[in-house]
Amino acid sequence: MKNIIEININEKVYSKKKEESLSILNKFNLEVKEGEKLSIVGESGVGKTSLLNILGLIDSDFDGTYRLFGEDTLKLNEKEKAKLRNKKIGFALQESALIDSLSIEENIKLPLMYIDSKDQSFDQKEYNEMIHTIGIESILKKKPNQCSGGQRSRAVFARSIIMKPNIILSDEPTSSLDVENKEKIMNLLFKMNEKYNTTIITVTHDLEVANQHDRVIRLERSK
Amino acid sequence: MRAFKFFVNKIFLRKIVLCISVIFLMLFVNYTVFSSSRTLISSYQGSKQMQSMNPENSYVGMENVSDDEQDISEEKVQEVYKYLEKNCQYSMYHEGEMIHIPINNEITEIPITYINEEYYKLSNIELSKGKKLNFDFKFSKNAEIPVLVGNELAKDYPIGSKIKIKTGSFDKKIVLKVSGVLKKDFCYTNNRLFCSQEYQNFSIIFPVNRSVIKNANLDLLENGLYNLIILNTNKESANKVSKVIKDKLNINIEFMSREQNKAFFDDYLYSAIRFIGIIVGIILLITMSISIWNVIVSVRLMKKDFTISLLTGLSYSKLRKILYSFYTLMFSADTMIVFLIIFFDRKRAWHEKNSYGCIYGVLGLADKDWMALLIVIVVDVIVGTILVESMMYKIKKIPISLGVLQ
Repeated sequence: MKNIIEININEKVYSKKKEESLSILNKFNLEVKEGEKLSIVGESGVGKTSLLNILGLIDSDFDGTYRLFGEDTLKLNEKEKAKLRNKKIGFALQESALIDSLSIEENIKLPLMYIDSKDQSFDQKEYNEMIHTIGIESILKKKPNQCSGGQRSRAVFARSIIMKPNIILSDEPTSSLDVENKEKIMNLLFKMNEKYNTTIITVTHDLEVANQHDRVIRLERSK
Repeated sequence: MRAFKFFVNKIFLRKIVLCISVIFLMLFVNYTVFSSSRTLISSYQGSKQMQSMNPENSYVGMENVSDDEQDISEEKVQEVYKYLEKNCQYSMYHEGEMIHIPINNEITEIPITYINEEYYKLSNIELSKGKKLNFDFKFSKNAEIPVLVGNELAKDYPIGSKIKIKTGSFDKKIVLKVSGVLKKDFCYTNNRLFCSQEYQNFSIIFPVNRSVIKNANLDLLENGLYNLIILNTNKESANKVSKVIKDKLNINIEFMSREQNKAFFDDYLYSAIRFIGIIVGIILLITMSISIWNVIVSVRLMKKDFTISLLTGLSYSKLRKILYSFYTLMFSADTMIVFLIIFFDRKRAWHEKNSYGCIYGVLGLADKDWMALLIVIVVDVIVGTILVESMMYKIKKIPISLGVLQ
């Protein structure tokens, strides 16, 4: 299996003022293979979400290198990064990551809105199957605030896979869910991995969830 | 398109009152820019025409309005004209009088302009048909006065046709005979207000000679004095005319040299443009502040939604395109409204045969209207670019992170 992610971070610095700067992810190297299931754990503030921001091409302001699908992401322009986020990266986030003013279906189809017209390849049949598998047919016309936490989580998950991405970046996807819904979401994630060889990277506090992955990385605070 | 609709519905129209305010403010800006630009274009055209109407060594009369009671009688006015004929070479005109004549079997009000021979010579009237205006006639009971008619009026009154009129300038009915047709859109510029042009498409140009003056009523004679230009003279002689008018009629008419006249108008024009510029500047500033604030507040309020959009494929360049499309749409709507205002204004003036606006070009607008509209579009492009780029600058400063969604 080839590496699809190769990242070397010397450091990521957050600073409002020079004397208040915070350095994280020092000397952090990571390689992720295609189809791998990787979880990232660690205390709050060690840089788990910052790492996901970098991996998801939201943040390029770090000292280091990042190759995604063999491409140097630091050389990509903002439009190319947006295209990668749209087509190749799915974000499976917490249940709150829905736009309240849109219906569940509009939320799920959001990535289709930003796709280039020439890249349109939406398959209604496949979409129906996905909705059926995830079990959210009954809430498609509802607004997020009319749904339960579990339903919202599944809707966020549906959005993350609608473009059949190569990588799913998952940020605490089960943190506010009960055991039953937690299982459902993780099963769906892993089904994607089995069916499409999708690479899964999950940031979590939950060791039980983390241990279901092929590999667990523990981030620690820099000394 | 879907992304555009989404942003219009969910972000821009989120604060509909602000959005409508921006449309109205920009409409005001567009219309003001249009009016100012057209005034400048008219002034330029008028200045060019006035170069021949107000040649070197000529003095343009301008009334100094005072509270003094005027002492005007036909007899005294005739004495002034006698003085003028004896001592000066002068041009005069009287416009603004309306007469009623049948057009398509309907009695229609049209303007009549009286001009003397000097005015005729200076105005370089171009004819599309017929003969030059003849000033060598005697104004008598049965005389047929040779006149020129506007290009549109010639459709009903071609060369050789006769028009019977009754005007306030003469006691009796008079008969006019069309001897020539003016070139389309011929206009006269006001002696002092160069930006004011009167289009003669529906007008009758009536020649004024000594016998006409002898028979004319006060209307024509008095108004003619307010539009005097003394030619081939000096300040001293012009002042003498001024004194004669003052002594005979108690009317204060000051004569200004060509340079003074131009400076007087320029002064008026620049102060008007400066005033308009300040008002437009303030309104533009308000419009831009409201627009930027609207988008920033919306994006801040919707930071979560905005982050989700970025995660799912929205790029700043796409957002920039959406903003440009939105403002293009808004400003196009405003420009269209301005176009419609001018269109109907011209149409009304044409229908009413109002000499201040009866000119009809491509899609009903005069060339100078199109030029002014072009300036409006250029201003809109500049304002739109500043607006969108300022918004993008502000939006990019909002930190985006997955942390927002936790």
